[in-house]
Amino acid sequence: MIRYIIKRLLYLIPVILCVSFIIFALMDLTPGTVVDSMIPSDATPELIAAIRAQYDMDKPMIYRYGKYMLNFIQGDLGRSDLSGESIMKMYLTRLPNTIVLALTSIVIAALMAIPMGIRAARHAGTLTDTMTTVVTLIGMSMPAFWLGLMLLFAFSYKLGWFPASVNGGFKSLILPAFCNGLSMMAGTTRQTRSAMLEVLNSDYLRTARAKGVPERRVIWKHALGNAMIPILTTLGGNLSHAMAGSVVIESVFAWPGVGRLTAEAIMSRDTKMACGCVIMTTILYVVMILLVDLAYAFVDPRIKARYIRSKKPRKQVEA
Amino acid sequence: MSRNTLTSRRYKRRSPVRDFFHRLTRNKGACVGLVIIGILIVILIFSFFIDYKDVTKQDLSNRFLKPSWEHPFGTDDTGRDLFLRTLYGTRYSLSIGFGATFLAALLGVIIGSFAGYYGGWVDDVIMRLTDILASIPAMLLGMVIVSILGGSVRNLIIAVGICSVQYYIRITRASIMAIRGQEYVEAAKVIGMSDTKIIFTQILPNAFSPIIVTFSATIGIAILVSASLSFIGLGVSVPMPEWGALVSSGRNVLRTAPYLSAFPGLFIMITVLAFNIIGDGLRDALDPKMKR
Repeated sequence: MIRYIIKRLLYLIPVILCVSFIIFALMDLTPGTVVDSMIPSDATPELIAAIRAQYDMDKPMIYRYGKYMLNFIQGDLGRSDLSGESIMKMYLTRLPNTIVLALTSIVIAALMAIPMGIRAARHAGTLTDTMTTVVTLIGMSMPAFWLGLMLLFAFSYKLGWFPASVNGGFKSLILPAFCNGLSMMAGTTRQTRSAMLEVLNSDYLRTARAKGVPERRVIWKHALGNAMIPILTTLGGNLSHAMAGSVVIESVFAWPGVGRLTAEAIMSRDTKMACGCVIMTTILYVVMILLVDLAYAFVDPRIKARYIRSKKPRKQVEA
Repeated sequence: MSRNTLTSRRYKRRSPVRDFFHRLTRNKGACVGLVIIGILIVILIFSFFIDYKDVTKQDLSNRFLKPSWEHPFGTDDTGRDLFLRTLYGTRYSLSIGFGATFLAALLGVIIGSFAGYYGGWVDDVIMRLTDILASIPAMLLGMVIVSILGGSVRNLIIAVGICSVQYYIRITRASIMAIRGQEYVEAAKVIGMSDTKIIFTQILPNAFSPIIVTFSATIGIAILVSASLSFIGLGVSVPMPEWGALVSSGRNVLRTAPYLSAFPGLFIMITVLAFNIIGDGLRDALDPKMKR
């Protein structure tokens, strides 16, 4: 298991290098960088050359990239072109907000999606099933920003239940988390339904019922346990996306997370900031995907066995 | 003449294409989706008769009018009729959705075919590059690309297309790998067909159904992503009535005039919904095994 984790972590290094190179190159090649805007219009060629040399603009791009990555390894992403603050520090102060939002919304999504999906699968073909399908289809088709605005209007402006600003502590978390959770819920419900449908007619469920296991236990332990992998995949995918910062939801609810930080940096052409944010977020994203992969092992003993087998070879039974 | 009709009746067999349409039209949801898309296309055609001047015409005496018969969706902060603007905006969402998905499919199918057909190092290189592309969250990649290229319909198509190209590479590669060992592919090789010809005339037509299903499923996502980009201000810029941009411009007056955001958003939702249910219908029609 540990060997597998190390292998996967090592595999992340080339991915991170490539991604950061692509992002750095794209940002670097953009015309109209901040350095260009610093040059006064009446500058002499010598002054222009001096300013450009100060920011290594006279050297090839690969040199700047190498320098950037060397600093990055030491935890330094440079300073924002606009505010002059340390990018790493700004990112890390925003990150907890995004994590809190992501975790809350995934819990909301799972709490709604799994029971709904199970119910739809158990009553496949009935009105309940059709209703679930309709609800999830609508949920999948709703633009998150629109849902957010409508929730904001209804629950914050009209009913006044939740604050519209973020300073309201726990209360201000509910609307964005609910909005995010609803968007994730649709896909997860569909996945739960189809995964459950696959296992509901299996022999081991019949066996479990035959030996007198209560129905509730049959569904929630025996069936759900076996249907968990695809559900986990969907939830995990959603979680990694949310961890990467739901730019849209953070911007609708003015949630101070990393998604909004990135969006603001890109909008204000703060190249360094944007570059740092995108690289950090991508690292977070791939690490999250790795964690979800590892989580499979805890859900499915067969996958766990595959990891452990490399250490202690099991005797293969020839068919 | 009569013998002809007799034989045709006796040997009336459905071609796979007709069979597919038969199954698709039996699916109620897909029919609803097709009808909605039909209506949207009618709106699109109708919108070409709307003068762009009418869409941007400001009438400061009619600001923030509530929805009424005269202005079904109300008027915005400069007195522009939101109904006309929303109808006019149909072209952006539809063209970006279709354009981006088509671009992604075209690139993805070609790249994925080569990866799947040749295997070996070609496959390795392509798949590693795809992994890298997939490890940047789609919305972020879209934002970066649009910010570099600038916000316009064409650039949104490119950005959103690049974001969804990985799905096509993977799905094409997988379905081609499944059939490249078949006898008819061997036969085509034996009669001396070139690899490119084998891929495009022998293998791809037989690997097409998952690609079509992916196509219909990603159109919805493409419309949502492009609307989101416009919403945060990176896509189609404000005077043009793109739906996401319309929702965004209604945002500042949400408290007093929620209809300014509500209606364009509703249009996005209905459009995406239509593509999603058609996608479900297509999946059922093309793959009877998956029919639940």
